[in-house]
Amino acid sequence: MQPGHAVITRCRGCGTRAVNSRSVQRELDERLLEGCVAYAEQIARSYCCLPVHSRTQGTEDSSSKTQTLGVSVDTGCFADRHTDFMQKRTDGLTMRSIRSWLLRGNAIWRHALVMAFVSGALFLSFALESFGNPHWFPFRVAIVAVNWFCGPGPGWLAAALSVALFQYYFIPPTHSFALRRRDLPSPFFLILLQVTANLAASWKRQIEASIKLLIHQMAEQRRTEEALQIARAELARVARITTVGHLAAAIAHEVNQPLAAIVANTDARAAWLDVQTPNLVEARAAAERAGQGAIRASEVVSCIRALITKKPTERDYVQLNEIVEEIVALAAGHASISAVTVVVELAPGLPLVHADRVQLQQVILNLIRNGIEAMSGIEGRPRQLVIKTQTQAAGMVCFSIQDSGIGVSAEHMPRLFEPFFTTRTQGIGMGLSISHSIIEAHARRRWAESTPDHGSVFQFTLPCDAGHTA
Amino acid sequence: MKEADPIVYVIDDDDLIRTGLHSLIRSAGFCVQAFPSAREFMLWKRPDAPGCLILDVRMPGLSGLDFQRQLCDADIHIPVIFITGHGDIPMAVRAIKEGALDFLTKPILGQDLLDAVGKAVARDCELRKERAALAAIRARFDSLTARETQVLNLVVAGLLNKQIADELGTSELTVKTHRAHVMEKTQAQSLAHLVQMAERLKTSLRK
Repeated sequence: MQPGHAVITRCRGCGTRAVNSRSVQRELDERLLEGCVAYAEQIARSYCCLPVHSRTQGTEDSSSKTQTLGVSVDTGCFADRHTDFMQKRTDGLTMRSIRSWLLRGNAIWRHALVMAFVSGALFLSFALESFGNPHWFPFRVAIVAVNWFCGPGPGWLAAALSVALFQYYFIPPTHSFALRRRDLPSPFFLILLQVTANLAASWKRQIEASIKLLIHQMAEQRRTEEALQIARAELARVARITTVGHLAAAIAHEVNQPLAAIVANTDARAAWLDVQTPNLVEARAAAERAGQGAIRASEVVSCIRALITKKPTERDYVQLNEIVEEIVALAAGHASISAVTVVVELAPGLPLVHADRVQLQQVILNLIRNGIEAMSGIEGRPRQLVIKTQTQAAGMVCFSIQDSGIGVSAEHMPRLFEPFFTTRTQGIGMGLSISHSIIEAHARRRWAESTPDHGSVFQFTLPCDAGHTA
Repeated sequence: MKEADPIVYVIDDDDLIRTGLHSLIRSAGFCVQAFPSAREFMLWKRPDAPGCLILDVRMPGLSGLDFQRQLCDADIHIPVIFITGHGDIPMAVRAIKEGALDFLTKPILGQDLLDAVGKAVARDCELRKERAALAAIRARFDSLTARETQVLNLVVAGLLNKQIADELGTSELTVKTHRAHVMEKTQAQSLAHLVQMAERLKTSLRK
């Protein structure tokens, strides 16, 4: 391979020449000789569907400099890519592709096009002159077209030629280049037109590029947002599972407790029946209690399942008190391990709230868990968790939970709902943040008040439908 | 003296379990008293009867293990059977060390519980008898005068009358009189019986 020589071979797949113009090959050679390797590569790429490699090697005299050997086209590529490319080129025989082809084509072509346009304009002007006044409208069209298809260089040539021809053939005295002062504006106007067309073309290109960039950016942003949404949903699910994981012991207790009740009651029933004079009343009562235990166990299981399943958000009219009772029952084991007394004060006849049941359960469970953990180090005062629901004015239902724990210090207060903010050694700091976003999604407020050393109160309000009462 | 009927106490915060256990133990012929919390158990005036306590480890407020310690501190002697949803080894070790009789995990088989209750009640009867006997001995020993107690201690230590007289700086005759009083007051049938009673008192005091 000669230095600075472009080697362009046939495509092995379809047999067509990868670059099918001798002039392109020459241009490549020139560029390579000038040292514009990148540009040469770009040209080669724009004409060929196949990968283009530039080969370089260090020269013997100075090892620091590299010398370009040439641009080669890798013919070991697949034929279908080539045919695809060729197909696109034939399909795209629009104005746009002609223009781009011309802009990339050689100078002679472009200048030939200038001649063609200008002579066409001249011919049309002659034709128009036979109908009346000389008209330079065709020249304008020619200049704009040349600018459009062939770029600014040929555009200037077209403008100069148009001015000359117009001046020679149509401005009296005709067939001479002599100018009279009052006729001056016309040729200048043509030049002005050329400048404007040029500018317009370049503006258009710029605007196109920026629109493309904008569309690309918007698509990118949308993709990012979608990914973020998915990640957030996944994180929320993970946090739910972590919540459940923290409660594993309590859950085991909650499931085991009804089972123990069932076993105790069935044993009692058997014992009452086994004696010589079976006591049917006692046996029946024991059997009923065993049944109640079974129902309670299944409730616990379904509650846990609702917490960990991946369900889309479903808003419905739900009874807040019911949810609170369920969750308090689920967390009772956790509370009793930590020696926490849970006081539940539910307002009777609370209107139904419009919310997602599972998400609400998650929020309440999280708040209860936080409350219990806030009190884990408390000695010398009762560990009490007060959970309240109440109706508020303007169709709102309020849920509040008060603990007698360590409270939140003033410096931590502003960061309380930030993701990954935690004051505990265990925990990822997602609980409050996720709860916050859930409540925000229900379009309601949530706030926290805390007096350090005396515990904190968390509250949220939900919209309710006054028409639906329990 | 005929012992009163044994009473089984059940403390569990879970309603269904409490009533279930109540029914189960009642079916075995025991008298049962069930309480939702330790506080209510303490408020209830317990009759003087043998019995045992079935105690849930996990309860809101006071936990079962803490309550067991409180009972010990308050000098309330009652055999404790622990029941728990999921017990671990440290929990069981602590319970047994504090004197629990049994440690059962829920769900409890009825027969296991009844066996444990039977054993606990029998144990309580024995303990009560022992405690009563010990109390009687103590009462008798408490009636001794200071001099008699000194003589008693030396007799139990195996000293002869002569050696005791020498030790206390009195005559052998005086020692003999004191010794006769001691034997009479403590109702000891022989020297061996006296030594045995003194030893029993000492070990119970050491406890």
